[in-house]
Amino acid sequence: MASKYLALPKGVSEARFDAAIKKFTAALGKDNVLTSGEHLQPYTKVMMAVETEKHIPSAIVMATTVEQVQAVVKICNEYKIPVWTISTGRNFGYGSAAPVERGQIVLDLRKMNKIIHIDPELCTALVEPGVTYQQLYDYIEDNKLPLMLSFSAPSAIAGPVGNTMDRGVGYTPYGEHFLMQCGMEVVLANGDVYRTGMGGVKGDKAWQVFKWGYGPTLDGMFTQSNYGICTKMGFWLMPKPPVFKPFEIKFDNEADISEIVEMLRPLRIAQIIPNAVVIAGTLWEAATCNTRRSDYITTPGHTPDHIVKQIQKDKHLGAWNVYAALYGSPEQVEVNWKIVTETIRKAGKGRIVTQEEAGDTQPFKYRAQLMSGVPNLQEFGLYNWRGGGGSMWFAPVSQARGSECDKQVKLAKTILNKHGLDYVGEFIVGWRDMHHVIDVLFDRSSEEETKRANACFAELLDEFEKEGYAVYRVNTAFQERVANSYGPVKRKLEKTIKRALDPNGILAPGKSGIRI
Amino acid sequence: MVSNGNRISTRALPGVLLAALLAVPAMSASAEGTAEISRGQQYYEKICAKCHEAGIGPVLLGRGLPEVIFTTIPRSGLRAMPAFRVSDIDDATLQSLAKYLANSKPKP
Ligand SMILES: Cc1cc2nc3c(=O)[nH]c(=O)nc-3n(C[C@H](O)[C@H](O)[C@H](O)COP(=O)(O)OP(=O)(O)OC[C@H]3O[C@@H](n4cnc5c(N)ncnc54)[C@H](O)[C@@H]3O)c2cc1C
Repeated sequence: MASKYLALPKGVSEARFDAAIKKFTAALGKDNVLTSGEHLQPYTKVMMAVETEKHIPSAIVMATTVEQVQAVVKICNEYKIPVWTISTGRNFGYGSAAPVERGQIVLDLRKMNKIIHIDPELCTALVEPGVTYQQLYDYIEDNKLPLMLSFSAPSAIAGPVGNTMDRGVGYTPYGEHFLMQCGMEVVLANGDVYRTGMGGVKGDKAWQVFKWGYGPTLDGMFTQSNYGICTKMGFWLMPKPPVFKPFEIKFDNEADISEIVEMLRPLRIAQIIPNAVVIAGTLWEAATCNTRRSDYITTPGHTPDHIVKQIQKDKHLGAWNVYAALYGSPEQVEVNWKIVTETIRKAGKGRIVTQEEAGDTQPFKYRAQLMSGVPNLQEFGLYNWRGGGGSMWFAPVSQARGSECDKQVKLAKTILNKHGLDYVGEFIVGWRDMHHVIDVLFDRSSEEETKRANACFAELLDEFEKEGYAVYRVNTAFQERVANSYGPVKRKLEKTIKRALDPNGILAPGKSGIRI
Repeated sequence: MVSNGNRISTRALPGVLLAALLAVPAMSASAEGTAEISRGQQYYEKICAKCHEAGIGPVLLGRGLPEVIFTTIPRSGLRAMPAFRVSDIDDATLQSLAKYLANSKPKP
């Protein structure tokens, strides 16, 4: 019999779901409870190489207050309804706004979007989940605050709470976002409202300035997990520096990658270069300056090396393109610039490009914007490389050592090419670590290519695991698989915590492979 | 569990509209824009333009495309274009945006 819902939660009858929907409607108002296909449609748009049907929600509920979030959790417990929470819901390449499992309801907190406060002296912020980076940027500009944001590349539409809850990264000296998070308010599965750090102290004013509080510090356990729903988050903002000097270094040969990392790591660890150093491959660069694969080749499959070389030449790109920046007073920047240029000069390779030389050209422009907290969406150019809207990030973590790079690039490229896909990747040198971020791009409108991309992703995970690598984050189709990479003891502990905190297993079952 | 007839697909969009969207911009056929900046125009300039005027998404201004394109595609997304939920842009703002784009002139 046809259901009036697009999907139902696992094990929940339609009649039971009707009753739950009635309660949600009473708690949130009818405009904040969506069940029609038309309203659910935007929540079903995924980029992963699996069928859309596998991640269709049963309903959307929208809350704007902590009390409403508590009410949602209560109803979910009563009717055993699994609930997937999103803040700004722009987790592209990781699952977008769709739930990890078909039939979960989505709690959309996008309309809970107050900037509660920004302190321009202590350089802190406290925001609700629906606040976007663009909204923060406008607020900072309108109020002429001497502060700088750090954000993920889809900055104009994504937001700090969702990004930090998934432990995302940005490109300024404050780019390790979870490191800069300070104070969190979480609604637990039993409806309690828990504040981390100093947040539980009556009359306290230090919630956004001192992370640890007293006793166990639990903030981390709420990220990439399903132990609570974050309703407020504090974080630190960087004071806007008097001088910002972005630069690029182009290296002509693929084999240069090891040397680049060895050369730059000491500068990065010593904070001479204070932001994450990005080392982007040719195709990433090409795509973000609006180059399409079809401009060069129309046969399916991977792009042959000679064409990649041709693109490199035509577009004046490096085989590797390093982006970093200096921040500070004119004197500080001058000294550090000398150190950087001297390092490159001594290496005898690498062409430095400054902002003055690059002018308004892409991709330099958007990289400089990302490194100085100016929202843009230029990186969506990646999706025009192959077209068809398929994308899954494969992002293994490693030590920041040159010896890791060659090995990883060769392995990734071999597997991608075997499945008819291209290596479109960059290394992000965090502090002592590297995220090797590879966009597994495919044409999602082709069923055959989608299948290939799925097999490719699975093989990437398997083969990298054999070499001792695991990813730092993954799309919702592979969360169970990646949980296994981290070993059985971790999984057992996570389950124990889950059972203790959420005995009905209502909060995002399956997130990071965790369930009761 | 069976999905009802309300299935989700970008293919639901009439092919002719899709073709129109992806085609080369038309040179004329735009009505006079209003003097004040509508909510829809504000949204376009703040968000949509970051792709649609950056060579990433197709040009939308001055195409003489019907309003329905601009009220349907944002909700479903299209290929790499993200879907915009009612919590991102409410129906009234989306309608205003559609009106603005449908009546816009090409950028000089
Ligand atoms: C071109 C491109 C470039 C990208 N570049 C980057 C990049 O530079 N850095 C990066 O990190 N990512 C990047 N991404 C991936 C992604 O789009 C961003 O990380 C984005 O910030 C995540 O979406 P969001 O901020 O809207 O978070 P959301 O989608 O709201 O949240 C992400 C996840 O966190 C959890 N969550 C969200 N809110 C809550 C809550 N209140 N309580 C509990 N759990 C919650 C959920 O599991 C949710 O799925 C990129 C994507 C694209 C398409």
